[in-house]
Amino acid sequence: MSGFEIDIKGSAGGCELALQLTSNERAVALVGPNGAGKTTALRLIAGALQPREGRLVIGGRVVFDGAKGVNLPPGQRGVGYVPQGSGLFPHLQVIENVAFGLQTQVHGLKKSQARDMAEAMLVDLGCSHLAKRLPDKLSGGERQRVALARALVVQPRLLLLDEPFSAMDVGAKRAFRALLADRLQRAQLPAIVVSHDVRDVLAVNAWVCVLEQGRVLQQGDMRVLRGAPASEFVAEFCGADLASA
Amino acid sequence: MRSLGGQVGAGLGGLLLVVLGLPILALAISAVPGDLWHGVQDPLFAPALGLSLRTTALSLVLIVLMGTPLAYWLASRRHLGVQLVEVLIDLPIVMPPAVLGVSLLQAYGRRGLLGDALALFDIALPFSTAAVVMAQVVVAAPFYVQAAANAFRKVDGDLLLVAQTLGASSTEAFLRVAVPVALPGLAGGAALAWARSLGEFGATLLFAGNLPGRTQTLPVAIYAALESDVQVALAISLVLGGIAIGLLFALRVAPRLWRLRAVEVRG
Repeated sequence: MSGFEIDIKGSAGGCELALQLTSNERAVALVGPNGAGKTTALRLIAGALQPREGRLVIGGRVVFDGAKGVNLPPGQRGVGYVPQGSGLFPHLQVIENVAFGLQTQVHGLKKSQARDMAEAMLVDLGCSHLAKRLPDKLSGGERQRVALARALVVQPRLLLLDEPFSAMDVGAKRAFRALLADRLQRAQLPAIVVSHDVRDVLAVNAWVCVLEQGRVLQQGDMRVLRGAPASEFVAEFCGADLASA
Repeated sequence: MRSLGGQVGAGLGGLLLVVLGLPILALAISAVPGDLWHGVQDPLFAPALGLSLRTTALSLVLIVLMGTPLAYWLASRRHLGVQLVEVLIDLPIVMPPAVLGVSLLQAYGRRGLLGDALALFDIALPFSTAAVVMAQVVVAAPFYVQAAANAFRKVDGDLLLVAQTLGASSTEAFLRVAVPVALPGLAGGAALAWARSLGEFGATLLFAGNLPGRTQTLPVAIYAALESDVQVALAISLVLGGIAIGLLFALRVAPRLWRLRAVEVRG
């Protein structure tokens, strides 16, 4: 069973957050002004922070339930997390980064098996030529591709991407949007993508959830949001210049 | 044209450089190869060198084994308890080594806090090689723990979260991500701690004494030799000074070489 149900309340660093969100196989774009709580939301879902109350179901499995005392660690939640700046391990080559998860306590594959699977994933995402490089020798677009490969190779049930297009030039953004949309559709994989750009939302045909001051202000299709924006931010976000995409 | 204030400042700074550099220069120019060879041949030298190398190696292993998890804990928590622990760790840096020696005696000596308990197991720590190691651990550990905590604070928390979402336990994330990323800082801290334990004198003399082959480390041997043969004291001083200069050079140059090597590997 794919999809997720989120109904949590929590706080971190002075930011109070209440998030209700449900989706099946469709990507959700989490948008909002700076400080709205978007990154905090991803960290609560990933398991870095513990919600104060609520329930979190990923792929049909309850990973957090405040009332029943369920709180699975990050490794057992089935999430693939790509933080801002990609979060590649700087001391490992690309191939080792991608194989990392397959050799952890949870997945426990042998080194040779893990490398074979990592190589296949790199080929699939068109970056096998980067296998021997260290992360600081990659461009912004290459880093995101490798980070995506590393997240996908462990077959997550939900992908969390924090501003995945932020450190790329225009061409790389366009290519990565197409790649991400294709992968999400092929794998029927739900995703939550934090973004500041309406073109990202359109590229992955995402359901939009607008966060302001830690609360869900409005959610729906781009069409709905554009028709009745609930705030100045939503109006401005939807009214972006689409012609230059 | 430099202002009067600038000239005075330069003069004072220059004077400090002279004060710092003159003793090192004096030690270096006193290095007559024949005398140095004579000093190294002295029966005091080889046992003291061997004991210093053995005890400092053991104290370094203990400091790294116990100090690394402690430093990680300090780096990943922010509350009043952490600050209090940090003050406790820093205490040996500001406390005179002789005071530390007395404190060690008061804790582990025959009439000390744990004296009776140790006596039950027939353990007598003072004036033993174990006492040398304990004194070295106490004076040198703060240097490693401080450097390691700073190195761990620089590790991006997102890297650890990513590792955990990929299936790593917190111990795996620590060993496979935090430690390798912080490694240059850990190595620097370990080098400083080793240098401090190699030069440890005051606490060792009070807690472990001056027994050749058993508790007489190189700095204690300098003290002993000064009473009988200055050339021997000079030779040991030159060896210790050389190690310190070599270590300082390595600490300054190693990070650059590390980066160059990384570039070559990537190339």
